[in-house]
Amino acid sequence: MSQIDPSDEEILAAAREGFLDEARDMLRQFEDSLLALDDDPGDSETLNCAFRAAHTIKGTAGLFGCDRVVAFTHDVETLLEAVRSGQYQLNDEAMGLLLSSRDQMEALLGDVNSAQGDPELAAASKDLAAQLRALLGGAGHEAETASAGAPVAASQASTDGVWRVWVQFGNDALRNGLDPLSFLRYMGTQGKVRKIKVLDEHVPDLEALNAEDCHLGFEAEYETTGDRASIASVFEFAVGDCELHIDPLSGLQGADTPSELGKAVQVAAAELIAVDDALEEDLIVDAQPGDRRAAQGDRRKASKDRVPDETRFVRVRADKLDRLIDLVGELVIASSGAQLVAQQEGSSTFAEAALRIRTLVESARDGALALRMVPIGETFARFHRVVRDVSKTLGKQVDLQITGADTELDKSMVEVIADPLMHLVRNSLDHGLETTEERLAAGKPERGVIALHAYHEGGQVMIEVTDDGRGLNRDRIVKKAIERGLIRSDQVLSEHEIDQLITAPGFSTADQVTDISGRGVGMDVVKRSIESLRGQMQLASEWGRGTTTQIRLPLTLAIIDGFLTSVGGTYYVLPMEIVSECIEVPPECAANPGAGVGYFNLRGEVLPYFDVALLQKVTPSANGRRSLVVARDGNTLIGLIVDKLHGEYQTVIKPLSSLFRHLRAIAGSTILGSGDVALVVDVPALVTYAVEATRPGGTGRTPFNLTSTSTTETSS
Amino acid sequence: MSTSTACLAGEWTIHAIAQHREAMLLLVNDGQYEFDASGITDMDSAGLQLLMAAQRSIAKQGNELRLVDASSVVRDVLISYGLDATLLPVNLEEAVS
Repeated sequence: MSQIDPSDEEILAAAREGFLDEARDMLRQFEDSLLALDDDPGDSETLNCAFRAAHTIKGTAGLFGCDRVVAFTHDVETLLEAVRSGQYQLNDEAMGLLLSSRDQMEALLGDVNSAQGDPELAAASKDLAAQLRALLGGAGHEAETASAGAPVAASQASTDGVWRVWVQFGNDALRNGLDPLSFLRYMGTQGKVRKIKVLDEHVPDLEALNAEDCHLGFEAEYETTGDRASIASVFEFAVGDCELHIDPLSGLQGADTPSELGKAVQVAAAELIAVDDALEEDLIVDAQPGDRRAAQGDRRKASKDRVPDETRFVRVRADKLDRLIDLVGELVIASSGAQLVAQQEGSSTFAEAALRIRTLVESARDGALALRMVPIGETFARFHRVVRDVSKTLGKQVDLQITGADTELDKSMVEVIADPLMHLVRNSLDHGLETTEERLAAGKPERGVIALHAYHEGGQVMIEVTDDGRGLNRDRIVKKAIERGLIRSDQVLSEHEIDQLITAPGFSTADQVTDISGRGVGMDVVKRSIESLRGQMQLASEWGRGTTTQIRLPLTLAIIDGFLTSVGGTYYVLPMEIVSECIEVPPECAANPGAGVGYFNLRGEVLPYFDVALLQKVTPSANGRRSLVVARDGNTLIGLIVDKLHGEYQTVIKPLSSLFRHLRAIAGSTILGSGDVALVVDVPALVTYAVEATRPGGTGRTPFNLTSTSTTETSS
Repeated sequence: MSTSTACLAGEWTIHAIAQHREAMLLLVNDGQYEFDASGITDMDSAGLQLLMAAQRSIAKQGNELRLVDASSVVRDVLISYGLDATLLPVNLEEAVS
């Protein structure tokens, strides 16, 4: 365009965004395939997959004029092609290079918006490309790839070529500010339009014409110094609004120079490869009858896997989804309200109808919530690469085990959780796992294991990072904590409490700071980001056997099955999963109603209890029998004394406004069908409080503020 | 059937093209086929497309659209697309004659 108005730039930017998105997907596919190849270098389908990904990136990058990406990816593709054709055997060196190439491609893609390109990046490209070529060896290869690797530069030196450019514009082209005429005029500035034919067969008569629709196109004989890509780049603004065909007129003038013919052949070959690729996807074409059957099996399996992969996703704006979920939440509340009215009216038909609506609304709610949930597997999968790279750097042999990859959690959480997880994995790799010699000396298997495990428990998502390394050295932790003034030297801590010390700010046990897990500022940052999600993090360790970090995350948006109770006119919802049983207030509690906290005996087991009324500083209702709810958090049981039990209640958790964010024992609020507000109790926080508050001599405040000051705030 | 020349004027671009179509529709239904396009101050592909549509409608009536005069912008568009005053391809006509 001689003049680009803002809308064109916007259109291009939007298209670029789409391209970058797609390229990222392709990069992931590329990486996945490479890692799979690392395990099984003979898998031809995976190799093809990697090749296709690189090919697609190159192709689309070319369309957007990202020559730097194209040139570099070409070398990657050449290497993969050599592997594919059996000229080159994949080895560790090549794999390492290919993985670095992936990173380089990512960096180049990130840099496409700058006009000149980062010189450092360019140098890295050159370096890597040279290494890639060196792998294949032979100067001949180098020359060949060098000329093909820079198609723009090469063709600019050649004489003018003649091309047939055929464009038919889409219906909305004019409305979108894309005038075929301006493309035609621009072509005139870049070369010579020798012949032009307007494609007007789609133009209707006046009666039928919507004058703003575009029915035009043109076919031109175009003489230019540029190559196919540079002609295509003329139309890059109109990618979605036109159908474009560019063919070299090789039989005509200008095309008889050897380079032009060569280019034509090259173009034809590229098209053949594309066709070939397409064929491979659909059909079973294999030259070697020997491995045909094996390949058949593989491909069939792979294509079965692949087809849903392409149709699985629809991109939706997150805020639209949030609005929908919000609305469905309101619906759930409204339908509960309707049911309540039905009960009060005593009309059985109304009650029946309300029940029917409720069932439907619940299914709608489940569906809506599921929309926001994504499996954590994608996040886990990226650790394959991390473990591979880091273990190579450290000279350790490590296996990564992943279980529960299909455990779903909220999308927004998946994004936030990735970084802390990365840190934990790196920590385990660096500090947790011993070197191979140490492991052998300790009588452990040579290969270390890092396990990522995710599952749902009690309405929460649990993520565990486990290693079978040396475990935490408690003596050293205590020594360091005293040194840093985190604890007093005479303080007595349980083993569990000592383990948690390493998440205290500024704590690091590594005597030697390495570049793998940073400078020891990590664990507290990890803990903070988990807590920002209203989650909890705990460490458990056995000396010499390994360490497990357990992350517990709430399903923030979740609508939970709750147990509705009330204390002094305020409604509290306890998550159903944590309610173990409900009993009458035991005599030992009733005997001392003013205490608020204490112990009671549940079938021989001594458990702490506390009175929610006293905790929240409300007056317990005077009349009626009070009840004790036995709540469970993990392995800890506590008793909560409430005024009244109202039974099961499904509820939408609405987050509390920021004003109440510091109230840790309250996870959220909800509106009952009657219009009353109920508070959703954060039981783990309450349990922590109860355990601390009932400890002999305990003040409700933990020794080093591990559970934050919130526990005291709730009681104030 | 009118034999006079109708004058076309104004901006024949996407922004105003819907109005021009209405006007053209009336003219063409009235049997108009000769136009003076010297009053057209701006033209884009939408404008050309409208002329082409008019040409089709006129052809259905057994006539041939003719531009007796055209402003430089109109000429430019026609030349860019390789068309003559009857909206037929210049080179094609040469081949025929």
